Amino acid sequence: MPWYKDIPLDLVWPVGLILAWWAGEWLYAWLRIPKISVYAGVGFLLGGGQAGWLPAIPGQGIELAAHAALGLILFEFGHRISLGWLRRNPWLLVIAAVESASIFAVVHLLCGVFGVHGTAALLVAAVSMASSPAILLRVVVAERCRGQVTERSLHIAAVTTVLAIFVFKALVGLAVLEQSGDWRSALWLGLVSLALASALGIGLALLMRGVAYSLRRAGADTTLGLAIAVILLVAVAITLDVSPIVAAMSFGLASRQLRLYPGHLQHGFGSFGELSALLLFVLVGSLVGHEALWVGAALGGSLVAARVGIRVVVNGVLAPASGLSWQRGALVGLAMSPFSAMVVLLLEQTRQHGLELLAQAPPLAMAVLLMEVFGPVLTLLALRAAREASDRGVR
Amino acid sequence: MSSLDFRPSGFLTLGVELELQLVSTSDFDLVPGGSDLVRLLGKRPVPGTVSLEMTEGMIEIASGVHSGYETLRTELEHIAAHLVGAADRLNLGICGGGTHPFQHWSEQKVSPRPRFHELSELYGYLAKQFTIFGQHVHVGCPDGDLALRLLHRLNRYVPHFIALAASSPCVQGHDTRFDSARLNSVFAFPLSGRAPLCDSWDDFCSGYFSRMQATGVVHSMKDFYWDIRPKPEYGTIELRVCDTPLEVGRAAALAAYLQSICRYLLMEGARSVSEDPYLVYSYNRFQACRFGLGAVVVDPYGYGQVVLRDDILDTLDTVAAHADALGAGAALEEVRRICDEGNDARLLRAELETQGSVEAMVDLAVERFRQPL
Repeated sequence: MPWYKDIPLDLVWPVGLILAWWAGEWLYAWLRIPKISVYAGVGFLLGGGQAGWLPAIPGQGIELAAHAALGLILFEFGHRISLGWLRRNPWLLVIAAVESASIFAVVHLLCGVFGVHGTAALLVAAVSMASSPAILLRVVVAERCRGQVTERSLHIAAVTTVLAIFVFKALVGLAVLEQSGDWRSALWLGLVSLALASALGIGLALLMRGVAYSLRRAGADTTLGLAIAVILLVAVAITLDVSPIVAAMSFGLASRQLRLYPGHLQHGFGSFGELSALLLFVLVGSLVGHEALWVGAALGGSLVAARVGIRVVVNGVLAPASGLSWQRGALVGLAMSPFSAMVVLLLEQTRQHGLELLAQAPPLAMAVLLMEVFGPVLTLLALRAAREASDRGVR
Repeated sequence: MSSLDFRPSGFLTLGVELELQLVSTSDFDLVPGGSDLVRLLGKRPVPGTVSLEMTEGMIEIASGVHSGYETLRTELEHIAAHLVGAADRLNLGICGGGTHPFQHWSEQKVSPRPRFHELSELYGYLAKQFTIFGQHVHVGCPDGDLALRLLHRLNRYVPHFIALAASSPCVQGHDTRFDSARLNSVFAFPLSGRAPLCDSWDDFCSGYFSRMQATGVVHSMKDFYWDIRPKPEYGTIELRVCDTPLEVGRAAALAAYLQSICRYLLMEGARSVSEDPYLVYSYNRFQACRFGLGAVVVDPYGYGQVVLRDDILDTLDTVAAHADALGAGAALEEVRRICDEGNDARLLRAELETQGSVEAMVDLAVERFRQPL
């Protein structure tokens, strides 16, 4: 048993975080590897299944902090989504739908080939549809990316994520109904919780609009208030057993509609956002065990390749109809490669309802880890190729 | 034909160029979308022209050549509607305003054109700081001599155009207390300011220009960033001091006001060209930038002090008959309305005061460009 097993839990996390931060800064400075890739990698190495520095099952406090971190990212993500654009350029919806349906079909087929069947196969296919709003947004914020490829990847990722959550929840509902026959619980887990989570987000946005309006003459920056509101929202959502992810995203979306602006100097909630992202990505990395990794290596690898390939092809082919060149369309697809950290949290949530999906679907562990580490790199490569990452200099 | 041959153009014909902001509809910061927008517009014919500007968050539209206000206004409105339609497909907001109120120069990307990269090499960060948005008005002249005489006679009216068009009160998130802060960025360029005194095109070409060319400092007229400069390839003089107004209709009105003044200066044979009025040129220019219509300027001939708004109202009366002859009566009414209600800088400041955020200023500017009042 390693000597550090006796170190108190309160100490292991800060030490783990500072190690991840240091490695992130160092590798970013030398190799320009996105910091969140390094955080997830360090999390994996320190995780319960590997070095064992970080516990295999995170404490409740850490889990809440991770949800809050994801909430902050998804709030900002939701705030950047223009429903008006999806209405004015419906080709974006078409691209998202074609891409999602293709990924669902191909991944389900691949699962069958590799011997994964039934609910597990359907759920793997469903979560594979989603891109990762969190990874995408963190790369965009960290590299100060701006432009059409950035905007499109965020918007199409939003639609695919909403579709994935919708299908995932419906499938979980059906699985619960099949296992227990309890239709109330199935309906709750399925769609009612989604509606309630959205309502929570919208309600909070209305409340915050009033607060911001009352402070406007004081010239107050509402960024801190919004951050606290997101944390409150996540806590309420978890207490009510509804999706904090959906709640935070709807809070962001509704805030945008209500013209509730976070301060322009606080993209990504500044240093507070950095810290919470560090915690989130270390945690997500630490949840994946290497045993699960090798069990699902072949399917996981194929799944990752299929997702990336489909996104690049669909976006490239349909981009000209939506007003963008096929080359830049293909870069949109590549930028959306990351697998969602949200997947792990979604699956963690289902554990509470007796569905051990993460354990049942080892290929997902492989895919998630692969894309936690390499996904941000692909996103950054795509956005650099599109000339949308910050120049970081005069030229 | 050399680049300095003055190509004659229709006397007092008008053309307008407007540099516009491309902003994100999420955070209202500038967004690099120029290349994508120009590419998209390239597939659908646009009236006038649309082209890239120094950085990717900017775009320039140019009207065709017009003899009067009404057709110019109609064309600019047509171009604006066309642009908004294309920008909607790319989720871009388009707006006027002389500066973006909170963009940071280091975040801007130089547009992919050799000339812009050359300028970026030469001027360093000044090139990116040149992410500012102006209106340029061209007035047609039959020959170079007349163009130079008109250029110098117009110097007394330069503060009028600065104050009327002023729409750049904020820079980098702060109220500068200037109505037109944009021109402060132009001053940073070594070849900005006023043109040297000369009323013969041949003398200008063989004297000042060729000496400057011999120094290697300039290669063409494009290298001069003067407030008013001759544009021999178009056969025009180009007034460059205006901020881009929030509405294209106002841009057309300012162009027609300039056209009326030019007609007055040429038809009524005002004073000859001399260095004297330049004595107070920089002072008056500063006053107009800083205080807008409320500036107190010095009469360059009588040395008396006058509030700029009153001077403009007097000028409107003076040139009214010329405006009528040019069919620009409605344009002068618009100028009078600006004097009464205030310029765009005042409107933007009021929005900042009411909403408490610089993002709201951009939001308002985008709405104004989309749906003028």
